[in-house]
Amino acid sequence: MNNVQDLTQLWAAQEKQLQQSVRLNTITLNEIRTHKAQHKMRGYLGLNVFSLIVGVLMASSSGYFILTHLDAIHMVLSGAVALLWSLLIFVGAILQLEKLFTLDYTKPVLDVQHKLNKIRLSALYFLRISLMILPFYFAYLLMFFDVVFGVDIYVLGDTNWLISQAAFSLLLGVLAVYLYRQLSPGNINKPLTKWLMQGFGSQAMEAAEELNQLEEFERYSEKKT
Amino acid sequence: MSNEKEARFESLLSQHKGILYKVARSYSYCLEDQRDLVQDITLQLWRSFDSYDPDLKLSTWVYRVAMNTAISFLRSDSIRKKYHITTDVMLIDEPQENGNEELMLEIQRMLQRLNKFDRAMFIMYSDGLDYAAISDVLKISASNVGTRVSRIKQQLNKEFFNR
Repeated sequence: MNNVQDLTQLWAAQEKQLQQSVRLNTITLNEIRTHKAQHKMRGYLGLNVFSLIVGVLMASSSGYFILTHLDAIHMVLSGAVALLWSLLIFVGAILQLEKLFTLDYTKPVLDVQHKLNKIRLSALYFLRISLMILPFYFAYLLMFFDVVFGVDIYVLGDTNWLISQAAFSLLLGVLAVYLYRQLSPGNINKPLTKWLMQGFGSQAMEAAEELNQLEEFERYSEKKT
Repeated sequence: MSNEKEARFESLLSQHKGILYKVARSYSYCLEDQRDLVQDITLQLWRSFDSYDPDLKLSTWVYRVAMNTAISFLRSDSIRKKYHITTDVMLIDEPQENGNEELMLEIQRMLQRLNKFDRAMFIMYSDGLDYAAISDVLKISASNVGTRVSRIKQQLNKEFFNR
């Protein structure tokens, strides 16, 4: 054997020979049929259903908060921030579930593997959305104090305190954008991203690496239209 | 579930059992994995059988299901083992002979040098599929299949045969 061509030819000949000796066992077809669906995707289904429920509950609560505070614009804005975030979680979960339920192994390999890796990165998607809360923490603080203690901290707080909160929000905004960008599957080889993603386990790391591999393969091989 | 459907499925398996074994051998590293993978592919084919698109060549369809199952199978051994349905049921019996084991080891060593997608492409190429058929399975253009296959061959000749 001197090159790949020789090896490939030998391999093909061997496969042909082996194929002759494979027998079909027709008796067990009935037993095969009774097997339940595989559970490999159950974890992702659970995570996305949970996120969907959280999204619905948060959106309803935020909507209710807005309706009951129409007289105070800062409260309406706080409610709107929470509502927007809940809707992002809700829509994200719906999109992930749609991917899960429409996964069809008879479709082209690149499409299916793309979808599968996106599903495996569900947790990362929700973490990235959650980061968006950071610069808007004050909205949640306002709502919390209003709902739990019946206190409007925006009215009670003095100007300097409010300015310091705004400055802190700005800092958190910068941090959120930085972390959001770092937590992209494309940055998987960077130490910080690796460290941040450790919490999701090896599955997410592998999915990110594979997604990159897949995208590189697609970039290289111009996709059919 | 009609007997007719069963008969059609059996005929499909009997026609394309070689694809199942070739893919399973190329994506698994031991006999146990190979057995599990053949079973996974068979189950997936059975589940997808109703949605078979007659516009697609049967071998292309079988290859799509087999490759998608194999690539997913390779992903996480621990997850797979945790959730794998343990069974002795095998719709396709194992080959009566093992072939040239030395050759298979050599081929596996060579395939391990390729990423999952290049490997898929090379397996189909070595099985005699034309570029259009490989393009249908993967969804890249036939001309790109040609370019990639020749690069894969160059890569393997260089890395594996030092040529």
